[in-house]
Amino acid sequence: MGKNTVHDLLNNADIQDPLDFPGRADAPGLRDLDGALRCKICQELFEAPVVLACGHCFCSLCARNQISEKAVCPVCWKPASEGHLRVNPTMEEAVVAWKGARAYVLRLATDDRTRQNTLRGTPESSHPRPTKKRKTSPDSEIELIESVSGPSSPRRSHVGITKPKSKSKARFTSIERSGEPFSSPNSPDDGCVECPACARQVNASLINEHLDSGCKMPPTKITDAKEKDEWSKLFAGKAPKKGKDRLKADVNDDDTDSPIPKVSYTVLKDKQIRDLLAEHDLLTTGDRPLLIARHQRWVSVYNANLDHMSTQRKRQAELRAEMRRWEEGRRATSNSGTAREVALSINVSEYRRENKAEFAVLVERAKPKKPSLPSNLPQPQGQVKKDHTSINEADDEQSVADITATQENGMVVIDVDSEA
Amino acid sequence: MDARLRRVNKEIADCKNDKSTNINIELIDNSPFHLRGSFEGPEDTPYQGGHFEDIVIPDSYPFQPVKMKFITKVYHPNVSSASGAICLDILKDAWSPVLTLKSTLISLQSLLCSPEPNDPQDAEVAKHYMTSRSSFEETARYWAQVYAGAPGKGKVPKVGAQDAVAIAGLEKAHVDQFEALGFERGKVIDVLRRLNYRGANVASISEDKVVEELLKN
Repeated sequence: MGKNTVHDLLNNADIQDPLDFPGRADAPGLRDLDGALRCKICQELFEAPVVLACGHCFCSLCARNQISEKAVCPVCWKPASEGHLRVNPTMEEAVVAWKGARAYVLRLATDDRTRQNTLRGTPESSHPRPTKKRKTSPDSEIELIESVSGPSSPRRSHVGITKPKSKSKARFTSIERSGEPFSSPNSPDDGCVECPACARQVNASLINEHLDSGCKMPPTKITDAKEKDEWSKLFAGKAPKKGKDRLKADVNDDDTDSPIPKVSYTVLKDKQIRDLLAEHDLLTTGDRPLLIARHQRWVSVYNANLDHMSTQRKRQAELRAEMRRWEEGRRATSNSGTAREVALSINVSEYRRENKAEFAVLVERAKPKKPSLPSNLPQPQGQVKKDHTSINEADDEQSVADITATQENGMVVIDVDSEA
Repeated sequence: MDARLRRVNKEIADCKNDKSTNINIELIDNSPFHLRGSFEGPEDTPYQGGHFEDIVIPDSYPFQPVKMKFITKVYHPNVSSASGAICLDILKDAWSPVLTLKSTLISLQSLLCSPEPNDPQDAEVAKHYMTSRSSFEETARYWAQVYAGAPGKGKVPKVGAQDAVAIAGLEKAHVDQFEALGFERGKVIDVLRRLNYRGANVASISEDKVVEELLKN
């Protein structure tokens, strides 16, 4: 069963890896290049790369997770802190460019190898990975072409002609009194000419008035909708929004780039943590550890997103979707994945209770032996053993294996924690 | 969560694609987070032959180390001879997220090459190692043949009463000597192993002391 499932697992998941590329002999440097643009922690192409104080580069989220676990660089073990993270836009540019080129280069490389193989006369053996990639590459290429061709001719003409027409009409409706807009070389549609003094567009019929008044623009009436907008903007600036209004504003306002500050949860009550979550429109269900984990996760995800170049940033909706996936993943593992580990830990405590008498006997047996132990055995031997028994009993994280070791073989000294 | 699955997938593929290291990884109970890895005992060591590894990948991997232990019994100072628990720094404090399943398994392979008796997991085995290297290696080789399917020299050993002496790494003559005094064989083996009655130690441990120990139980 084992091998098949591994195979299925690997084929089902569309996972990119430096090993997609042919080896050094066939395509020198390609594998290394793909590897160099990957984060050493998650082994994906860099997402919002940041550098630590030591100069090593990681995805922002990976670096933040690592620092919260252990505040050192995973490569060189030099101390690291979140305050020292610096964004690396140059690396991000390189990664974005490589993301665009990867499928194409991969196709070239595999085609090249196939050709060389046929030239050599060796029939191409089955390559599950390259064929899969070749199948997917045309799609991504089309996507690429579309995104490139987007801003070119058709859209530009659209932007250049149609849009200003409606826009300028909206702006000058109040100025345009006469029904027929007359055309001039400068103003094809709406009868505006450029003021020779201030270079602003002014309706031809009003240009003299405009010049006489010393280039004052006639008060343009703001349309009702715009007026409302302006007012709401004013209000938004002054009155702090509460509840849902504020949340909506946050969702719309993607340009804010101030990171969420870190919170020390120990000084907060459950209610306050819930408020923090509600502020960002997150779930407020679950027990305290879950609330804290959720808020920490959101802060990491949110702040990591800010380390992207502004063009690469995800929208808040995407971040929220990511959070939902995280919640689902958590639920799934708490139901099935960790079930085994939970069972183990229960077994450990049960096991300890059941065998308490036997442990006691073993400890007792170890004690009186001490004085009569041969001289070459160090005196503290029994002591060490006793310590370990107590460690085992105290430490819930001790694996069940170690406990059994103590039990099955009374003489083996288990040294897991103290000597590591 | 997702990132962990992706990374584990890659690491399994990495081991699979790298034919030079002879490292194999299989799934246990259909979970990519509970694996069985295997590698060959390094050459020119008593461990030449197959050894198996049990791997559990924790939730916060790669920020927390993988949990590994030997399923196959291994006679080694840094491996518990009873449970297979491994004493290796990178499985504990020295873990770093840049390490992978492959690199960790290779580290274990090299741990078999170079035991660290001063930081032992199994104190008795470590004492045996310090007292008499050749006797230790013989026992380790014997364990590898019996438990790990390493090729034996001529004879194929079977686990039985006959092997208990060799499994404990003792001299048959010594065991016979005390058995002849009327003690139970299993008890003799037990006591001699605990006293590390091997090599140069034999001279320093008097027979009286052994008998005293035997009588105590």
